[in-house]
Amino acid sequence: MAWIWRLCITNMKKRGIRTFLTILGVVIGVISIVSLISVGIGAKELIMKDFGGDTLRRIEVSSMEQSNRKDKMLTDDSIAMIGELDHVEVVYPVLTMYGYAYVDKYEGYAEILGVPQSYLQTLTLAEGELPSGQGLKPELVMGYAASSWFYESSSGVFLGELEEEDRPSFVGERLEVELNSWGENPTKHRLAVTGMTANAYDMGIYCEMNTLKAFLKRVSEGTIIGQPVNQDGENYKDWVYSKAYVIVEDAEYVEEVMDKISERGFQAYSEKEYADSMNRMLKIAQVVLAGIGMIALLVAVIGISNTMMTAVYDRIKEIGILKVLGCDPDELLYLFLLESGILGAIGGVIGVAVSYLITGLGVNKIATKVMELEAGEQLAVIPWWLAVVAILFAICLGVIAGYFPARWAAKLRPIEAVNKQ
Amino acid sequence: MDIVTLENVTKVYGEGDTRVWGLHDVSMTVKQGEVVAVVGASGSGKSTLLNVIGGVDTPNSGKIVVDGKDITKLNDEQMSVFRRRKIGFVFQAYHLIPVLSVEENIMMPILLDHRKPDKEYVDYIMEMLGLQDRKTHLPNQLSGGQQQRAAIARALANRPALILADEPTGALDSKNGTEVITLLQDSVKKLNQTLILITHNIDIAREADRIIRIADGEIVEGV
Repeated sequence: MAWIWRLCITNMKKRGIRTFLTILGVVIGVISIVSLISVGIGAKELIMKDFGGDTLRRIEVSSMEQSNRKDKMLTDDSIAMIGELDHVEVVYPVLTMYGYAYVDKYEGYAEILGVPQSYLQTLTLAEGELPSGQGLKPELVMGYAASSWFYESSSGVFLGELEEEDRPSFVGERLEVELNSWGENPTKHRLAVTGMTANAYDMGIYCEMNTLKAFLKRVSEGTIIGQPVNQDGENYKDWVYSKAYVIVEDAEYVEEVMDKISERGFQAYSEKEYADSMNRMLKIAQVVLAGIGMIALLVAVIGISNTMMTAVYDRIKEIGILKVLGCDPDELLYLFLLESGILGAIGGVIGVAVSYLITGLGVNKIATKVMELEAGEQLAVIPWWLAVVAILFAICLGVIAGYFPARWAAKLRPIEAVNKQ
Repeated sequence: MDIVTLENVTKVYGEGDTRVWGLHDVSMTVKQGEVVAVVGASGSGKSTLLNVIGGVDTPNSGKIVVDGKDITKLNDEQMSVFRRRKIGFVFQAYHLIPVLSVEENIMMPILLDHRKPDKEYVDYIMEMLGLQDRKTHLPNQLSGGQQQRAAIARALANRPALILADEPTGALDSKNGTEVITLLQDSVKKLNQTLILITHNIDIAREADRIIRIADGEIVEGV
């Protein structure tokens, strides 16, 4: 078979400029389709990353306003009831403590969320560490965006108005929280901040639930701060939670579970609907982008076809000689398909390589500047499978484009071909 | 032993008014080891005769048996196999493959048959035809006479049953022509090959064992 390769490669070299232009056509086609798809993939990853891992499987449950019926309150019993619904993976109760807080030269209204230790462990930290769980006072983990609740005491400038990188991190500081601010005996407590989450939209301030419960019991005089009271002015026997995070097995069950929770008299909210519409828009964008790329590739296919057709015409005599000498028709077909396949393969490999360069040195560099991406974030992502598929696709297109000219060559009558002038 | 037998072979080109007789009810035989010269005016059907015997053209009717096989019954694929194993072609215009070296051109019929070339035999033929120091040259680096010698080497390399030469000296001057035809005939004798040769040159034709004259698609002399 060595001679087939020799014939093939020598011919491609001999027809240098035409070979080059054909490959260039494939390269441009591959670049356009790969880079357009890569932007689609990258943009989707960016958006999904912003949403955070479990966000799409998460339902936030709260009790109806001013409900005094015990079965409509979020107690351990109702948490357990929700946990038993189909497709619910886990339910995290949240106990909220409100207070006015001071830290460094800033102050602001703080909503501190007491959550189970298992929930704390699902958080991805950008800085610091999770609370140890030891000690008498709750230790805090700030959401990445939680500092935007605060403002500078002297100037009154809200931190939320500042650029992300200009906001102070409170990790290592102590938050001085004033409880019962409007009550008769406000008390102040200094709570350590041990860590900060990575989620850019996270505005919560978290602590461990049991520590918070013990702390609230200890610092409250009379009824427990933040807990509802009955007609007699006393706390209920059970803890009443302000809300609960329900994680379902898969995003597709979100609506079903939300309906069931509503039926039982609670409010349910999720961001899935928003994410869904976002996803739909992304899909449309991807299809449009890929469509534009396809047109470029189609032009490349026509280019290969044209090159192969002229290659066959130019070499009609050579084909005739091979046929007279007894070349199998199949082998002749193979010869030409090999040539067009090689054109496709070279174009595919170069195209993918250039796409990596363009996205790596161009698109992502510009996007990082313009869109202010963080380190590790990219607008255009070319996964390995896209590279492999693009090259295989280019080879297939080459072979398909070469097939009809090649079949025509294989079917030529030897004596006519050899005598062609 | 008869190596070629034609029985009532007819070949017609075109249809209706443009109908041309290529061969008209031709019957003949060629014996193993025989050198046959085919002569006739241009358009008389000489090339058609060679083409149908060599399996590059198919007759409309009649029977052609080459080396014991009726080739009119073969399909395209089998015909390819027949050509590369049984026939060695020599053309007026040499018809070497321009991108392959002389040696590769000579080995082509063996390579096309998916066999490993017998290097010694190929060397022997190249030496016989004075091509040993032209092995790695490309065809366009050779003179016309050398190219035709390479084409003859190619026709011999596969030890075919039959060599068909269509005016092998037509494109050469008389000195080169004589040299080439002498080499061809010497090689054929040495290797005990059978040769059917079309020529316009009466001196060359006289060297043959037999002369067949064709006119208007019919054999008029030398059956």
